[in-house]
Amino acid sequence: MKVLVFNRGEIAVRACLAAKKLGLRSALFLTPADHEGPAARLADEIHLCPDAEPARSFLSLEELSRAVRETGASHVYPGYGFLSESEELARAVAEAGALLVGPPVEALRVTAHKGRAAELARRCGLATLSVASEPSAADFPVLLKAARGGGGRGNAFVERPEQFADALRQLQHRALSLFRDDAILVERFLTQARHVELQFFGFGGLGVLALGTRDCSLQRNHQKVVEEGPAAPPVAAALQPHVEAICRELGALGYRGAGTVEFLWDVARRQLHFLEINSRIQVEHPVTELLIGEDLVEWQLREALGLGAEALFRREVAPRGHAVEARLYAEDPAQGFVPDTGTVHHLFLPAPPHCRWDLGVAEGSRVTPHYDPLLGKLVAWGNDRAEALGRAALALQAAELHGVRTNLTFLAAIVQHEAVREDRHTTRWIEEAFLREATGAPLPAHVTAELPRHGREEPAASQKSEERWKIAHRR
Amino acid sequence: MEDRPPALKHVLRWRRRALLFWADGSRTVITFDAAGRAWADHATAAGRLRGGPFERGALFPRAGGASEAGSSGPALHAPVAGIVARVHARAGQDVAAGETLLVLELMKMEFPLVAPRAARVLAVHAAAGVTVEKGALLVSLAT
Repeated sequence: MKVLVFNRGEIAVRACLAAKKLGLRSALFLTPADHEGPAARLADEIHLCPDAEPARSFLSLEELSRAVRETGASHVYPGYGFLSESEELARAVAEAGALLVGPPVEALRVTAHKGRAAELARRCGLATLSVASEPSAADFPVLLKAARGGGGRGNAFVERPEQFADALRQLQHRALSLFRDDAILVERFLTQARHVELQFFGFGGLGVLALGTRDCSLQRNHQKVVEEGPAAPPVAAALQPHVEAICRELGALGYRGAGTVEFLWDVARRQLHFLEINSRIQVEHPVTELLIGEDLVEWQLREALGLGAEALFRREVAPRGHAVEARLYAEDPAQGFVPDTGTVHHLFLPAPPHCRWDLGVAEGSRVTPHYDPLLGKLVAWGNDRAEALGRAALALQAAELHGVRTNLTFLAAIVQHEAVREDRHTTRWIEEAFLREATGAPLPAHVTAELPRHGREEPAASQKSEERWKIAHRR
Repeated sequence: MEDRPPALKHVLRWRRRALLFWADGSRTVITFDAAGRAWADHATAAGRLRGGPFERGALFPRAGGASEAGSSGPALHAPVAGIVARVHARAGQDVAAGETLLVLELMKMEFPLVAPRAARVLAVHAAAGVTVEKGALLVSLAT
């Protein structure tokens, strides 16, 4: 059996390593932009795609089919981003005579569609933020979301009713060209919120396992910057009653592989709202890996290839301690976070105990304008939150990466900030408080008001709510 | 914003790199890339950013100081290295101030180049799909 790794960067490295561990052959889909990267050194063989441009490489079903044919791969590993959540990819892989490492098309039809996923959530007793397609003045500010889009470019924030029509038209246009579907959902926008998520893993006919929670509230421009797990006790407690129903619904779809249910926690009203389901492995999955001591990329391959999947499903997993992830980007915080390109000529990334760097670059790697600026991630584990944040700060401060500008200093400053250490931040904290503070701009009134802590000082509650994360729905 | 660096105590040199030890106990690594530009790490005692090609810039942008797309001269240069996504301007065309002449794409982000004032386009130096370096001449305008 041979796995075609149809992705790049750090997730391609993880897939090559997992394949090696399982004794599988890996074939890497490689574009000219990544010849010097670490994945090319780890793969058993490479398939050369002549063009680095995403539209003619990682977004091209034709190039994928050619790669499957030429390598004779039995399985395709999609990673995250690019086509990882698209039904078209699942179909193209099947037509090329291989199997996709991920959920079946029937499950994707529901989970990767924001509208159908919201219906599933409502059946689990979860509230959503949906408002009518013609929102009333009281609903503003609202967030417009492309039904089939993911993050950043599939979203538009609308503050006032008079901006609604224009924003809707623009997003429909963008959604049609990016995702080939102009369906748009309208949601209420929470100004004081925490972003939380539930990691799950599907085993097809066996059922679905819940593997614990994460909190990804440290965001800039709707992009996650620093993630951690588990979520604060009050949030985890609010999610707890719905976990079994979520696993049951996903199990009924025959869900296979890694997935995440995302939620927003309304800090003022202390309410949980369903956001969406990510039908793939996520960038921040290592947070959960450190908490439960498992390799989720290996799980994906084992589940898809039938290599002891049942044993994994029966395995006792219990989150322990606290974990933090920081995303290393090739961008310049001093110039409005503009992405930077270049060749990495110097790399020194020491990892304190219980810390790990997952990197998509090595010395000599080029960072090109073609793809997302993510260079890699630091993950740090600790017995408690303070220890995990402390270790993350240690690693980020010692890190040296020269040749391309990075957000290392920015990350180090965030994990050491008082508001983060005290767990008082919300999803807009980086933009509204942290960056303004750093530049000396005045803070908006609702930021200067004392924000509630998130109740991490109640360890008893934490243990109680985490006990039942081991729930599995068995069909 | 900028404070004076402390006195230098020791310097360790090795191939194309140097490790500077400052009197205040902090240290800085300096390396040189293939083009001979010096790079320094960010971890100084003051916690200030000294990253990137050796420009000792502030850690964060000044309030409202987001990077400006394009320059204001009669020639428009690429503000970032990127791929030309779309070209709207044609040679000989009259454009209004603020009109988008060309859009650069870099890592899923778009950077529009806009006309700094009303002008006539003399020449467009890049075509869609072409990769350009930072600072490359993209559009010339008649003033």
